[in-house]
Amino acid sequence: MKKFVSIALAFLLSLSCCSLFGCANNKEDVAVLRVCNCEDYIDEDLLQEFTDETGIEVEYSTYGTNENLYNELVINPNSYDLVVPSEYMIEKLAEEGRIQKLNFDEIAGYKENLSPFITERLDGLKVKSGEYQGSSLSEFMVGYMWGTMGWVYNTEFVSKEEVSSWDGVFSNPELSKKITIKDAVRDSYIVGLAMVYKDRLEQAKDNAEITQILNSIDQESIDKVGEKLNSIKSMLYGFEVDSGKNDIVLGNINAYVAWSGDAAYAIDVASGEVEDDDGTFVENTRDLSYSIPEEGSNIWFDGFVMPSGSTNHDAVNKFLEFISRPESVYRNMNYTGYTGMVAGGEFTMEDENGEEYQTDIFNEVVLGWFDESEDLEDGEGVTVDLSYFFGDGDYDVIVSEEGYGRLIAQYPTAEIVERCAIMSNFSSETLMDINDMWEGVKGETFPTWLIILVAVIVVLLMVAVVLLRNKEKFPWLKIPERKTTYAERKGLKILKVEEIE
Amino acid sequence: MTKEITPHEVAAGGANRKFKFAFSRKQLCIPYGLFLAMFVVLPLLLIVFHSFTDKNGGFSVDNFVRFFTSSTTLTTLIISVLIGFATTLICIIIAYPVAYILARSNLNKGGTLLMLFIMPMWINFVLRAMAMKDLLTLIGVFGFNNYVNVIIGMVYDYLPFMILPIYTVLIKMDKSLIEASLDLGASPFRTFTRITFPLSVSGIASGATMVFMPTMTCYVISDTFGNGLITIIGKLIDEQFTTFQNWNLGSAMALVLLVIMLVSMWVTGGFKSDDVRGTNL
Repeated sequence: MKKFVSIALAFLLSLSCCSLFGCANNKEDVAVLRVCNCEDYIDEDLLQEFTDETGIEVEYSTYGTNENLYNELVINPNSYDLVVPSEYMIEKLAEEGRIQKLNFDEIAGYKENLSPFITERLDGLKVKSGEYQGSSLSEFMVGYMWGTMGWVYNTEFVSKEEVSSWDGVFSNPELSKKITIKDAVRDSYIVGLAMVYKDRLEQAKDNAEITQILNSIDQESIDKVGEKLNSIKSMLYGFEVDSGKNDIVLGNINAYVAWSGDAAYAIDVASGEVEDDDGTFVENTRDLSYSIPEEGSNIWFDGFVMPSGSTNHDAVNKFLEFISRPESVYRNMNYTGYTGMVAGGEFTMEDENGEEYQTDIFNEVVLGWFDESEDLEDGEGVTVDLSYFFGDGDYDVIVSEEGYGRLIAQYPTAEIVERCAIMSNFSSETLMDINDMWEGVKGETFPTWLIILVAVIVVLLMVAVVLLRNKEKFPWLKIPERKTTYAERKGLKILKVEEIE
Repeated sequence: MTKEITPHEVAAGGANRKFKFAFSRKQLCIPYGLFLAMFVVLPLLLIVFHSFTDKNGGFSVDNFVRFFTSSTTLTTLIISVLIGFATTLICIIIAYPVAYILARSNLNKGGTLLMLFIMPMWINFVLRAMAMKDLLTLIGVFGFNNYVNVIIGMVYDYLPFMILPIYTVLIKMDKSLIEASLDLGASPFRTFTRITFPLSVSGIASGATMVFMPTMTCYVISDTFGNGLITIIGKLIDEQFTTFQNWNLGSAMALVLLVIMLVSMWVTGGFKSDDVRGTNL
């Protein structure tokens, strides 16, 4: 109710602001850029540096979910100059004409440095309807971060085999009440699909087929997913969107469905080597790892898009150029734990002696953070080839068995991404069907007779109360008068003073 | 030369103005009227509008049909009411003795004790809920049944709303009635059941209204304490507005809830002018 009222209020307020002051953004003379991003999703020092460099003030705000952001953009198309939704929401926004195409000639370096893998995937995403039908999503967005979804698990209690499939952990009774899945319908729906269509996914030939299976929205699939999710519900510790990473670090749960950036965060914090959000190091360290099940998983891409109401092109282009520089990408990756989409381009860093050196994302992030070739004997460890992401050339990294889980949280292998599907935006009709399924999964369902019984009892009670309160109006309702005094109730006779002898 | 202004002239300044604004009570009401129209009446009208239309803005009662034909929604409603009832009942059982002690004993010197009960309300309730959950987990009470967890959370969060109105009624009560009862030979227990308790029922009613209604929709508590496994009606409404982008169904749910509240108020006689519900604080 609270939330609801606030939305209504926000709606009203924006309406009144529109009528009273005019909706246009008349701030062009003062260079201000309004950016709305996910929480904790950028190194905020960069914003100040951007202002120092260009003189453009950044008005930075954050949003909770893609859907909340959508609501804001529907209410006021000119509330922001740049927003950072996920690819399915970008698709929806483009279909409804709520965002505009970008001029990439003005954003120097972005297209050249973008990973060839990302370019290919984004070019393949097409707007399905509306005025921009047929355009690819890459025309609207400057790619920011991308990632996958998989199991984060405690290696002490969960075996590698159990997390190599989506339903593996649910067959181990010892993990009962030690697992969480996402309290977000899209994420849990795709997990359900992967469980339901396990066999078909394993036989699938290519990414297109996997994508097709993981986008099934027919009623039969929805029903099957509902059944599947209901059947695993008793094994769950809960549904979460935020608390899972802390619960697994604290040991409340042993496996949880995680987005890759959260996975990287949880693994690092649980190892005791990296401080958590509150700036403390955990005392009871745990060995966590990340696994993307073999059936396939979700792959997602977040990017900057420009709402159709914004006219602040110059500032937008400058900001996008700034944020796509390899150095900014590196710093944001370092800060957020997610993986940037930029692969190429060099930047300058300082080593511990204060000497500057030229480096790039591969050397700094992949080799700097993950490479263990010096600690491993010849023949030990796993060699991962990341040339699919970084382009032609030698992009091998050698990691230990333990380090592999951490690496794929940030840079999955070519084989893994081949099995990962982008999930399209659901139409509103599909959403209605999935809504029913999801309500059934999240809530309880009493049998119909019980509901009717409750309704009848409530109505009878209400009628009884009304009758009792107004009994003087209903003479046929013969209720014995209550004896009001103590003496009457006890049947005592009250004597007058004169009568007492 | 500057002319000196005497205090008398300053005081009479109003009389020299060309336009006279004589503020009457009527004009003072205008801002309140505007405020109510903007922030109470209009949002309510919006809810009604959304709930009787479909996605394209045409008239439709589909939202209500869907609400009353889905056994999941109705079950959620029943569960919410039950959680609300349980919370209210436990709150009364805990809050009455607390309020009684606070109002009657010497423990509450200078209101310090009352302050200690009220102070948690000054801290953001989401923060309190999360802290309470961690605390319960630490001492091992947490986690054996999610419904129990949610009710513990709700009681913890809404207890002050029950204590305060009962406390207010008890402290305002005419002490001479109690003295008279004791003088006339009634036992302290009898005095309580015949004098104190009947006179404090209005406080309980006020507290019950303030606890019952929010507990049905306060899904932050049910999510935090129930690990997302307990769904109450507020959560359903939220999901319609955020995840499922169905404002119409969400508004319809909110309207149904509103009507249920109104009906229950009407049935229990809450609209009579002598009813003090919600006016004690």
